[in-house]
Amino acid sequence: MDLKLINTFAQNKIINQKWHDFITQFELATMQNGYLPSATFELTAFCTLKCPMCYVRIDKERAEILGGSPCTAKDWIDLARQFRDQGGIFLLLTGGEAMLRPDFPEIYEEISRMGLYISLFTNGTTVDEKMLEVLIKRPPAMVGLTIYGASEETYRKFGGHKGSFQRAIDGLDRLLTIPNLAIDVRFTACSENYKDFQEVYELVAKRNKLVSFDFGSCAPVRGASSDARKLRLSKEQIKEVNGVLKEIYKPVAQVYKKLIGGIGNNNQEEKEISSLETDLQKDRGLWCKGGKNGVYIAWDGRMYPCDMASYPYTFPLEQGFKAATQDIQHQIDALLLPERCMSCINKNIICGCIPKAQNEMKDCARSGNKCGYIPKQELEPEDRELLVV
Amino acid sequence: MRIKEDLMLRNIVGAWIVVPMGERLLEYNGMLKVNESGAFIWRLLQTDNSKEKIVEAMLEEYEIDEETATHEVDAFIKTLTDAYVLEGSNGSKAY
Repeated sequence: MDLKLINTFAQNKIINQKWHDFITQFELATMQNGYLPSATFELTAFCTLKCPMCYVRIDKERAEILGGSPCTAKDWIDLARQFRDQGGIFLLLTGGEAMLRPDFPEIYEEISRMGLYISLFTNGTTVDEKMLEVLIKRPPAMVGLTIYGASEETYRKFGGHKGSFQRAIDGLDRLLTIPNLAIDVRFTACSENYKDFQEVYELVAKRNKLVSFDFGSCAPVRGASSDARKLRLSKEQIKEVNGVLKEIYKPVAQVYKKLIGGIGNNNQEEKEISSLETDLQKDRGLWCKGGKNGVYIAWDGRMYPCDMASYPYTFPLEQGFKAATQDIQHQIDALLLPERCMSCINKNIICGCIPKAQNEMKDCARSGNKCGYIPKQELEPEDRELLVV
Repeated sequence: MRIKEDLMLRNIVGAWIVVPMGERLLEYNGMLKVNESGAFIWRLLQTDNSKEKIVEAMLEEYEIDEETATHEVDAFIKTLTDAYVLEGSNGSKAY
């Protein structure tokens, strides 16, 4: 007889790598046995902020143009139950800003009783005293909180109402009052806010947390509109930000690269996931971990293979979760890298992901503009390793 | 004695795992793994049960003698007690 306790997260302020490793190990076992371990529910595409580089946010006017109706609380609860029953275990609740939904507490309280590891992504602005009570009662396994700047001024550029920066920090402080809660604080950079990074790092460090750095300005998906392409960091800005990163992460050099989350950090399990039996070529299908082990359900109930994908999609509310998942898996095989991307200088750097390439391609085709990503070979060697993902 | 609330036993890809939920999540910081016979006892302890009743159930389920069953049940209950997952007369342990 045996019982093993596997500690995974909330043990250390650097939790994201532990959580990541835990998920990776478990995902490998489930995928090898034909289960789908992960799902993401985009509870709403609306948000309290209007980050100019956000690839998923939709405003109300846009939603009316796009049509479709948002899933009800009952829909989300039902989908979560079906996901659990087909062997699902990791569920990410995100948005937009998931907690903006007035019925979030109802959805969350019900889903949190289903035996799933729930992660919750937020920008912090919705974590008021009332929301804190909900989360204290039934804490998620992990909260990913993104800080976008170090001042009200920066938050104004990101469409925040007056006081948004303070609300985000108050939200973080409230979450920090939940003992042992795993909180992963992130900073998403674009040319509008990258200079704030050091200050954000400092204010998060004062709270005994490290902040991870991300600069994933993807082209908009599923009808969202953004200026992501215009706001990508230039070669000079990448150099500048790398200088800051090197300095501030010096004390934690051994985990430094992992915090940034990029090249060369794949562990054995990830490599095994990547090499799972497939007859797909690299210009077809999905071969990344995200594309293989989970699905993404958008605000209107459509199921996509991942957050980057605008198609294919299926209808889990009508088809049932399992059938919709199988349908998606079959359609993934037909995903093709756009022909024009095959000869693109950035193909192996950014557009190695077909859904990403398809999103980029929409604009390349329309305006002839290049995507604005910096080809790896154009960067200084030290910058390549840190920031090019 | 019984298993505390908010610890859900699940079988995924043939493996038994226990997913902590609610405040239990903050206590256990991860997941518990149990083997087949551990899961059998776990299920019995989801309602209030005595050690004697569990041994009896083990003798019905598995081809083992009473001495072995008692030894196994004692050992598992100790493990559960040490992991603070039990509540009730034999399983209580102060944090």
